[in-house]
Parts: sequence; C-alpha cells; structure tokens
Amino acid sequence: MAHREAAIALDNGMIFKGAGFGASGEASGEVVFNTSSAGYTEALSDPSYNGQIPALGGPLVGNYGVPSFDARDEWGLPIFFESESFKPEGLIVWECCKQPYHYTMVKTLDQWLRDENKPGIEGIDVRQLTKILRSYGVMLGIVKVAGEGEHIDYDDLKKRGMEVPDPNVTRQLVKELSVKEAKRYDASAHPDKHKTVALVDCGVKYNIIRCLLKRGINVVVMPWDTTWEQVQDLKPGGMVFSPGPGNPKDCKAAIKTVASCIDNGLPTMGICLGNQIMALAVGADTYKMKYGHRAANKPVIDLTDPVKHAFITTQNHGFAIDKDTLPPDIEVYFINADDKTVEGIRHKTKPAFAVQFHPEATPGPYDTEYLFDKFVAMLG
Amino acid sequence: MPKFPWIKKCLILGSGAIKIGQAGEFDYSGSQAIKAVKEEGIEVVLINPNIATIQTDPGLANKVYLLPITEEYVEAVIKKERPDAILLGWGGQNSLNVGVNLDKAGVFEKYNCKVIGTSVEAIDITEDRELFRHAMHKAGAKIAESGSATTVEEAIAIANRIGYPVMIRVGYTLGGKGSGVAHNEQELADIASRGIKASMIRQVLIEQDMTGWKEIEYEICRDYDDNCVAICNMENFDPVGIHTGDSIVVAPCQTLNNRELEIMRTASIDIIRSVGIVGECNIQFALYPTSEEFRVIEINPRLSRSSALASKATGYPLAYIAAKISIGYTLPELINQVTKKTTACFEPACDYIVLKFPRWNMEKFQRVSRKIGTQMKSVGEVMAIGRNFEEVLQKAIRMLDNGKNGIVCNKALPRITDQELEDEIANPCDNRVFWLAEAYKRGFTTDRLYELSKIERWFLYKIKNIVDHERELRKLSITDPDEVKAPAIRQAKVFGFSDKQVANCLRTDELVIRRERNRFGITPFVKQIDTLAAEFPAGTNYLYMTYCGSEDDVDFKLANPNGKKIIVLGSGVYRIGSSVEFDWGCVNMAWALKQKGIDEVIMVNYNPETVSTDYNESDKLYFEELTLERVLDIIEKESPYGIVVSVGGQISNSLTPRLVEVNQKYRLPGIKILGTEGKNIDRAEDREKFSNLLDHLGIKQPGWKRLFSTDETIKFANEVGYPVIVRPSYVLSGAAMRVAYNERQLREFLELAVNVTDPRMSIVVSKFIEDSREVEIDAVADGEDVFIGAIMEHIENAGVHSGDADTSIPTITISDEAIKKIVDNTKQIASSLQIKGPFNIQYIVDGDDVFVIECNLRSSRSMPFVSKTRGINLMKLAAEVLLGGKLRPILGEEIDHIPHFNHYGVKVPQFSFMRLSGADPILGVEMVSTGEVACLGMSFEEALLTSLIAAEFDIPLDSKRADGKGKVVLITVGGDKLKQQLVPIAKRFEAMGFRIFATEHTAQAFIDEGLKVTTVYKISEPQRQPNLLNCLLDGTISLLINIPMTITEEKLLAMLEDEYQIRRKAVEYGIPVLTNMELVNSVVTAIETLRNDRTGDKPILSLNDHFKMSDKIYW
Repeated sequence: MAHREAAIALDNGMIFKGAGFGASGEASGEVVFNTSSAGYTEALSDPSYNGQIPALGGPLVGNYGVPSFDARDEWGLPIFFESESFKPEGLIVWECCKQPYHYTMVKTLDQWLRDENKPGIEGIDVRQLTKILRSYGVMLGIVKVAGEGEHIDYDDLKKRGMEVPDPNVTRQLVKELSVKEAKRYDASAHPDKHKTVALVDCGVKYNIIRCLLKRGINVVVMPWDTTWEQVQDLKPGGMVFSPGPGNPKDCKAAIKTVASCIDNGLPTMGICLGNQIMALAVGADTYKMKYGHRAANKPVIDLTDPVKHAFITTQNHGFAIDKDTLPPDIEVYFINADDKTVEGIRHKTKPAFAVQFHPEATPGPYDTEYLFDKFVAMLG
Repeated sequence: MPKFPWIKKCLILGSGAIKIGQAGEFDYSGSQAIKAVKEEGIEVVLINPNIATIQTDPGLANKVYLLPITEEYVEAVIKKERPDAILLGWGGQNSLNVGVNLDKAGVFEKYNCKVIGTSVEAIDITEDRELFRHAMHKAGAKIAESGSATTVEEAIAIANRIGYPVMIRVGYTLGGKGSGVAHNEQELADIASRGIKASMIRQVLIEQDMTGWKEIEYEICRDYDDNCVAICNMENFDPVGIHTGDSIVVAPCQTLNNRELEIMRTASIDIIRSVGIVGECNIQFALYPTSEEFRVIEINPRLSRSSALASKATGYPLAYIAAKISIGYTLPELINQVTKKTTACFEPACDYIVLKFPRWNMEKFQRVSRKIGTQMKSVGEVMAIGRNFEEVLQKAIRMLDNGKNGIVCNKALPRITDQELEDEIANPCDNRVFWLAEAYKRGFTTDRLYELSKIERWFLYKIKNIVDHERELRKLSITDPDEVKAPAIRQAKVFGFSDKQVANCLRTDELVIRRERNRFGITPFVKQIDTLAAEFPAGTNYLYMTYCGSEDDVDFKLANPNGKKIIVLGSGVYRIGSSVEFDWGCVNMAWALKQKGIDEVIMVNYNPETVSTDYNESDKLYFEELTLERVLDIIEKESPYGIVVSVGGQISNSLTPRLVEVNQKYRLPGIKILGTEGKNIDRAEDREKFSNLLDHLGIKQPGWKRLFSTDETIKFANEVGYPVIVRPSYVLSGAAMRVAYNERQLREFLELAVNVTDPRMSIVVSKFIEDSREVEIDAVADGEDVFIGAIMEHIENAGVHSGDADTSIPTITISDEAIKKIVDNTKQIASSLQIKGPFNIQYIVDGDDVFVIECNLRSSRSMPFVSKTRGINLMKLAAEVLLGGKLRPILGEEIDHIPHFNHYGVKVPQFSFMRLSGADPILGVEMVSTGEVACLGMSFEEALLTSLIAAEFDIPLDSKRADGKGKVVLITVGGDKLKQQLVPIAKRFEAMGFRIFATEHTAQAFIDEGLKVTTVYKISEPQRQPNLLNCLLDGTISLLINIPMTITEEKLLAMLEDEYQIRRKAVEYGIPVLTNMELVNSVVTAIETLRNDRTGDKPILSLNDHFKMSDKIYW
C-alpha cells in the first residue's frame, strides 16, 4: 500500500505528522486518549466515541484484524461489536497492523476504516500525545489523510486545527446515535414469560442489551428523548439509561424522565452518561473533566460494602458528577480509587442506582457485570 | 484492613542454588519480600544458602542463615528464632515443598508459626491433580482430560481411555521436571516410570496432549478481602508443547481479541477464588487456535519466573505487593510503587511490548539432546522492551550474548536440505527462530511454516518482515545517495536492526553507520515505563530505548545538570559461568556509589531475573542491551562522569577495548572508564600479553605458547609434554577451554578455540600440570595497596573448572611458603598492571611451587562468597577505589595481614544434569554447573557437608537404613591405581557401618584387600544379576562413587559407555554421585566427623553471628 501523508492538528497549534491509513480525507473532533491495549473492535464501535478522535495507547493496533458483523448471537446482536459501525471520527495509533491474523478476521483495520470512510493516522508517538493531553486537557483537532501522491498544506492545516468547532456544541451527538423509534428484543421465543425493561438509547452498547437478555429480561430500546408518558404507555418493569457521548446536560428529556422514574419508584439503572443524567435528575451537578477516564484498568471502590470491595472496570467518559452537589437522599455508591471522583450513585430509599463505569465491559473486565443481577433483583 | 499486629518476626525461605527452572528471579522476589515486610517494623529472618544473592547480604534481612532449605534445617531455625509467621512462596518450588512438609509434620503448629498468604490447603490444591480438578470444576474452568497414576500400569490404562498422544506431568516438581509427551505405550512406560520416581508424592498425571494450542499466562493478585487484579497477561510465541520456560514470550498478549482475553481473565479470577490464593499466582492456559475453547494447564501458587518477568514487563512489583498482602494489607490500601500516588489495586497499561527469550547453554554439555520440549532446558532469559515485535525480537536475540546480531545478518547456518529444515521447524532445537528466517529466505510460505510449527501467523509475518527488509538493505550500498539510504536505515532501526546488522548489509563498519545515522537524525528515544501508559505523571526512572517514537520522556537538559552521573554496566543474561554473583557485584557497586555521594547511579541491564533490574535499586535503570551501540547511545544521552565496567562480568569487560577504541578514534565525550585503565585490562585478558608480563616479572607460570599455527603448537606440546590446555582470550566459564592428552585431541580443540575467539584476540596453549592444587584470590587494589579478601583452595585437583570446584576459605592444604608466594605474586601483578578495582587471580600450587594461570581485572564469581565469609564487602571497597579513594584509610593494618578466619566457608556447585536429558555429570575445564551455595561452619567438615546438602547432594550421614541394614555405597572405578587409592576409602565406609557394592573388577580389588563386598554387574550385561541398573532403580544405592580414570579422552571412548550410563542413571534417580578423588576423601572424612553430630541440638549460626566473630567488618 502506498504511503499517504497524514497529520493531526490540535487547537493549541501543535501538529503531528504521520502516515495515513483508512480513508483519505479529513475529520475533526475532540482528541482523547485511551490507554487500553486490547479490544479495539468493541472500543471503536462504542457510540460514546461519536464526535471524538481516540489515540490508542497500545503501540500495535489491528493485530487480529476485524471480524464480521454477520457473526451474531441468538438475539441477533453482533458478537464482536458494540454497535453497527465504526463510531469515532478518526483514529490515531503508532502502528496499524498491515498483516493481521485471526480465525475470525474478515478484513484489516485499515480496510474497516476505508469501508466506513474514516481517516486513520499511524506513526504517532501516542505516549507523547497522551502526555500533552494529560497536561493541557482534551483538545479539539483535525486528522487529515491525503490522497495517494497528494501533499498536505501543513500551515493551512495548523490554522484550521485552531478553529475546529466543538462537536459538543455544533452537533447533537446523542441524537445522531439514538434509535428513532422503539426497538424490541425478546429474551426468548416466549416473551410473555419474561419481565420487560425499557432502555433509553443515548448511544447504547449492544452488550448492555445482551446483559439484560442473558438474564431473561426483554428489552425495549427507546429513543433518547423518551418522555415519562411514553414510558408509562409501555409499562416496563424497570428502566435503564445508557451511556453516550457529550455533555449530559444536553439530554434534557432524559433527565426529566429519570426524575419521574425515581419519583414513581420504577427500578432505574444508569450507566456512564446515564449516571450523569441521574445525578442531574436528582438535582446534582456535573462537570467536564480535564481529560476524562478512558481505559480498561480503572479501579473503583464500593463504598456501601462493609469491606469496601474494589473492582477493575472499563471506563470511557469525559464528564463527572460533582460530589458536593449530591442531595441527602443520594449516596455515593462507587468512587474512583485513584482520583476519588464519583463512580456511581445510589438512592437511599428508592430502587435507583447508576454507575460511571461500564458493567457491560466489552472491551475490558467483566468484574462488575453482577450489577445487572442487582438491577434485575430490583425488578422484583 | 491494616497489617496483622501480631507479626513481630517473620521467616522467609529463599530458593537456594540456581538451577535450571529456578534461577535468579527468586533473589529478586525474596529481596522484595524482605523489603516489604521489614519496612513495616517486622523483624525478618531469611534462610538461603545461596551466598551470591543480594537477599543474603547482611543489610537486607535482620538475620540471614546460610543453611540448606530442608525440613531439618528450617525447623532448627524456627526453633531458635521463634518467628510468628513464615512466607513460603518467595523462594520457588523447593521452599514451597519444604513448607508444605513442615506444615503436615505439625512443625509450624508446634512452634506457633503461622503460614501467611496462600494457605497450605490452597497450595495442596494446586499441586495435587485430583484436588486441582475438583477446584477447577468448582470454578467452571475446563482442564485437559486426565487421570493420575502411581504405577506404570495405571498410566497405560488412563492413556488408553484418553487416547494417544498423551502428556505426562509430574506432581510436586519444579519446571516440569520429568514431564514428556508419549505417542505410544512404550514411550509412556519409559516417561511414567521416571516421573513417578521424580515426584515427591510418587504420582504422575496423564492428560490430553494439547500440543499446538496457544499458551497464555495470567499473573493475578488477590487479598484477604477477595479483591482481585490481573496484573499481566503473556502469550507464548511457541505453542503448547514447548515448556513456557523454553518459549519466547510476549507481553501483553498480541494476537488475542477482547473476548479471548477477558474469558481467560475472568476464569483466572474465578480459579484463584476457588483455590483460595492470597498474594500472587500464575495461571497457564491452553487456548485452541480457532475457537474460544480453553483449558487450564496449571497454577503456580507462588512467585515464579513468570511473575518476575511480569513485574519487569509492567513495572508492577508483584513480589513486593504479594508480601504486603500476606501481612494483611488489602490491594486498595497499597500504593502504586511507580506513580507513588495512585492505588496498587489496578491493572497496568502498557504502551510498549516486551519479549522474553530463553538462553540455552546446550553446547556446554556432553551428549545432551538439543531438542526443546516439555522439559525446561534453558539456563537464563532476557527481556527486550520496544514498540513492535520485530524490534523486541532482534533486541532480545542480541541480549543472549551468543554471537547473534539479530534474526538475520549472522554467521551462516549449517547447510541443510529443505526436508531437514522442515524437521528443525517442526521438532525444534534451541535455534528455531533462525530456521524460520532461513525458511522465508528459501521461499517457504507462512501457511507451510504455520503447519509445521503451529506458531501463530502474526508472529511469522513479523519474522518475514525482517527477512524482507534485510533483502532491501542488501540492495543498497553505503555510497548510495542519502534519500535512498536514510529511509531504509530508518525502517531498519524501527525493525530493531543494530548498526552492525545494517553495516553488514551495506558492507561497511558499524561506526560508519552510526555516523551516517546521526547525520540523518535517526537516533533512539528514551521512554519511561510508568504502569499507566502516561495517563498520570510519574517520576519513574525505569527506562528503555526505541526508534518507535518522537521524543525522549526524560529531559536530559533539565534533569540534574551539574550532577555527577556514573553508569554501571550490568551482567546481562544468566548462563553457565555468569549468574547471580555478578548481579550481586553490580547492585553492591550501585549502592556503594550512591552511599559515596554520586548524584545519579545509572544501571544498564536487561535480565528480568535480577535485582539490578529492579528500578528501586538505582537512580536510573536502562533496561537495555549491553552492546557497544546501545552503551554509546546511553552515553550520548546522559554524558556521564564515568563508566564502571568491572563488576558485570565478561560482557561488560569485553566491551572495554571497543569503548577505548571508540574513545580514541572518535573522541566521544563521557567515555571515561573508571578504575583500571582499558589497556591494562587488555594486558590481563589477552593471554599472550599476560603471559609475557608474567615472564617479564619473573613470576612462574606453566610453559605456554601463543597459537599462530597448528604445527608450531603441536611442536610445543611435544616439547613440554602432554597434557596441554588450550585457552582462548576474553571468554568466560572456560568456553572452548580444553585439556588435550594427545595430538589428535589438540588438533580438534584448537579448531574449536579458533571458532569461538574473536580473531583479534589471542589463543594460548600451556602445559597442564596434573595432580596439583588450584588456589584463587579475590582482591581489590587502589594502585598502591592491595587488599586480598581471601585465599581460596579448590578441594578437587587442578583441572576442574573453578566454577565447578568445591572451594574452601581458608585454604586447607597449602603451605605457608606457598601462601606467601601467592600474596607476593598478587601484589606484584596488581602493581605492574596498576590495578584500581576488583580482580581475581588463579594459581596452581605444586608443593611450595606457585604458578599463575589466569588473572581477571573484574569482579569474579567468588566475590560475594569471599566478601561474606570475610565480612568485608569487596564491592564497597572497589567503589571507593573507582572514585579515586584509597584502601588504607578504610582498612588500616588489616590490609597487610594474610587473610585470617575464625570459621570455614565452603562453596559447592549446583548441577542441573537431571534436567538435561543425556548430559554426562562429569567435570572438566569447561564449567557446567548452573549455580552454587556456600555455608559457613566452625570446621571445614561442617561447612562442606552443610553446603553439599544445600546443593541437593543427599549425602548419607547415617550409615543405617530404617530396617537396620547398612546403607550401600557403590564404588566403580577404572584402572589399578584408582582402585588401590579407593581401598582405604572403602574401608572407612565399612568401618562406619556402610555396605560396599562394587562392579566386578573393582570388587575383586577390594576383596583382595580383605573388604566385604557385594559384586554387581554392568548395565551392559543386563542378564547378569544383581545388576547395577536395578540397584539404582530400586533405591538400594545411597551413594555412588565413580571416578573416571583421569579426566581424559578415555571418557569419549565406547568402553566407558557403561560408566556414563551409571552416572547418568544415578543423576536421573537422584542418587548422589562423586566423580572426584579429592572430594571423595573430604566427604568421607566429613561424614566420619559429623555423622553423630546432626541429631543433637548443635547450635546453628546466622551470618550475623559469624560476622560478630570476625576481626574487622566493612559492609
């Protein structure tokens, strides 16, 4: 494959040159880093990356290629992906594997990006970039991959890099992802035998749906702006608010709906963005973190547990709950063992809890999947 | 939960001598445990007879016992010290076994000493296959179809149920000792009978053979509160079928997708919960290459070689954390040792990859099979850090220090047919990776190579990348234009090519490539290992270099601009002749330099098994190659005040002339070699120059001649008379050193020596003085004064390599006159070579005559032995001298005294013949032992026997068996002279109540002298009974004495095949074999002296107690 010029330009005027893979073209978004070194097919189909350009910390990416979306489980969900497509705006790595191998592979990572028209850049010292993002905070940026034989005007790119519009402002990141109308997944061929949960889709990962189905729960995936009235029409046994990209404060409808769920005692679980939405619903505040948590090695501690158990979790978030604004009827459920940020909240009297991390994992450790059992137990 | 308040004193078991399957990694893990426990205010007592370790230094534990790790000695220490708690998992399999036995015997209960961390019940689960199956079933994890057998018949029945091929594994053993794959009943019977014998519980496991499955390992920590973390996952390049200790391993896993990784991670945690591990453990899995089917292979409920590797790979100190967990802490309470602010309850993220490559030493052994398989044969390992597979693979190969430059650009491989090549790939020896590269050159396809090797294609593609790039490079020339050269060189560096490899392709010198590279701005970057892939700022000093990056993590301009920096070159890979004793020197040197006020002590080493590669032990650690290129890279980055080359052993020492040369030619700043001048190092190392010097000084040496032509050399040999010894320069552990007894041998050995020696270095042939004594000194000189740490005497006569000889401090048979000559010669040599630093001289003593045979201007293998026996740290003295200081102000008059001792120290080698199928357990001038121990005693006999026991020589001290009959000493020797010499020995054994068995002719000679002897028949005459083989098999024999006629060519002859068979079988069945007359003499005397002592309450002394008896301590 011929060499293609490529570069990333950041909003602070920095520019990094590399080589292109994936599609030729340009993409802009929030440049973030993820220190995880495995599980790229799940990570890159995670809708929370909508509007972002992740830089992956592991130096060799794409080693086992990309498997088929046709490999699906009994509920029709793809086995190796968290949505139906590549979700970030572009991708930054040190090396994108040219000759991958795996028995499940149908294409290379390079080909996947080409097929989805997303630019990728390799030859970037991701550690260097991570150190910059760690000290300056996340930045907006552009990834550009030139066509074969074309040259990049670096001065121009640098200038435009400093004027990248913030997708959190200019785009409706959650709306772009969410289902337009309710979609039903039955746990078995006899749906009547199972309880049903409504899942508000702000950018849901398929494994959340699977984690419920596996536990014998029917799932109705509903649009991001589902109202309490619409919920009442469905009469679900419980509610789940999904992860998703962007600022939780933009999910106004969902915030109201969560508040009603809690008030009416409907068992409710929030994950990631859903956690922040629940916090806003109970009157607490959220804030944007300097560079967020994006990794599969994050320790959280269950504060409600007498022995204060710790768990390793997958995380992918840039906003967090402001602990000091939590009302008295809400307790901190989990905290981050490193920076002590809020990793989960729980209502003291009502059947509602939410976590900032990903109990559905994929990619990453399954250590907190038991939280779905807790939720299912709440359904009665 | 905070630490347990009831632990006031804690006993830690070390690992004893280094052997195949149990190497220096336990010095690292033990030292970490001592630190973790001691800093909590708990008194730490250590038992470990391996005197060359850091952990047995007097400053680490509160008390050190240089005693065998056996039930008897450990109980004696417990009885004396009364520790509240004991740590069993930091010394390897042997100390774990001893701990389990003591627990079962009620000893811990008796003395109220509690096993902390993983319980004995949990250890049992991992060791007993039936309990293990049950626990795995509970955890929902599959293991291979299997069954356990205590007889060969049972084994065959199980195999018939499972179907062939089957894997035979041995319960309670280390490094897979005695394991193997059987394809039919006959093979099974053979392996199973040996395995049952080798097993502590007389049990073997027959299981489904999973050869060709991927082999994956996880390192998991768990605390008393059930918090679990998976610190590292690792993937074997070589699939199941090759022991993981003999496999190339990468971390983290590279070819596994998220599902595969997480399924096994979850299984790991379920498993350690089911087993009840507290602390750390290693779990090995087999993963079917084309499905998510996996099987648990085994669990190591202790620190291990893999855990040491994982610690170095991730920067997460597993041994330290596991010790903290064992004394009561939970993971969230502990702090990440790198960031110093985040929690230890996390899983490291790597923004690099590491590769471990095993180091074999098969060429050292006679008759050994070079094939690798389910029994581990490697003697050491290296770890390379980089950012792509090609880079780490080529770096690692250079680190092996066996003359290879990488995957390509090496000396030509032997010519073999395609058919033979396929066999080399399918049934590998220790050099498969090179054959894979050769296969690509011959146009083999990846699919074919996969079919043959079952090595995952991803790895094979990478080897192909290297081969392809070499081909591209060879099309270029150094005279090509820059725009053609530069990109190719850049890509070569990204693929881990050394300048030397590039130079080889472009037909020029490596320093020319270096100059060109610098001109193009193609230079490596220094990167940090921080456990978190840069997510949090960390002041880490753990560094590596790579061409895959864009900036240095270290700001060389900012950091400590006026500080005095010193680089210490480490000892590199462990192999026969260079092991933990050199790491001891490096670490002690680093500590001493720091103590003496050096601002930045920089360690360079790449051996994951060492303490020196613990980033806590120096101000900066470069986990890097010890090649000229990389050392120059580091010098250019760091601009140090000076470099220490004299403590790492032969690798750093051999680098010296090259560094001197570069310095003269290119005037690079910062190449200041501390201590003895480079040219004087050369005068000692170059055999010819050194012999000339001795002649000039009028110091006696055996007659010698430099090899210029074979004919001339043969003429010389005829003049002085055979035997003669062939000695190449700049080699360690006597590589290619041989004693020739006739012209035919001499011709053969000369050819061998020419092959291994750098053409610029000389080879010398000298007269070999038979029946003489060998003496060594370890000393430090400051340019004026010389301090001799000790004069050591080998128990064996000259001719046995110093690393294989049993060695006593002080001397036992040397006359005062000879001692005086040795002291005088030592001072003369030191003065004429202007030695400033540590050195070692070897002497031959014949009556009062003293001959110098060798001088090494560097730390020696015996430095820790001498330092600890004397109570004076020679490395600390050396540090003083290297910084320009003098010895006399430190030592005063002690410097003028002939070394004096109030006790004896005896160093005994540890052999690993058992693990090397076929290897002949016989000693000569080339070293074959893998490790050593040294115990101290108030008498020579006590020290000798304790050391022999510590080196697993199961010397029968009691002459009676349980049934009241005498134990059997089997004697078989050749030649009338030896038979006569052994008559008095046999009589002494008989007098003690032993029974004497002997082979036909030996027996006749003994009977003639009035001994009562049972005659046994040779192995080659199986029809005649009683047969020797049966006696060895059924445990009749307690001690075997077999002395080859001389250490001569006769052993090569077919007539001695039988003797070889006897020695080999004895090794396989764990019967102590004595093959040396002088050692036999010493042992019989020692048994006589001590056999009644052992049952009583004799006082055992710690190293600290011995120190109190010494006249002068400097530590």
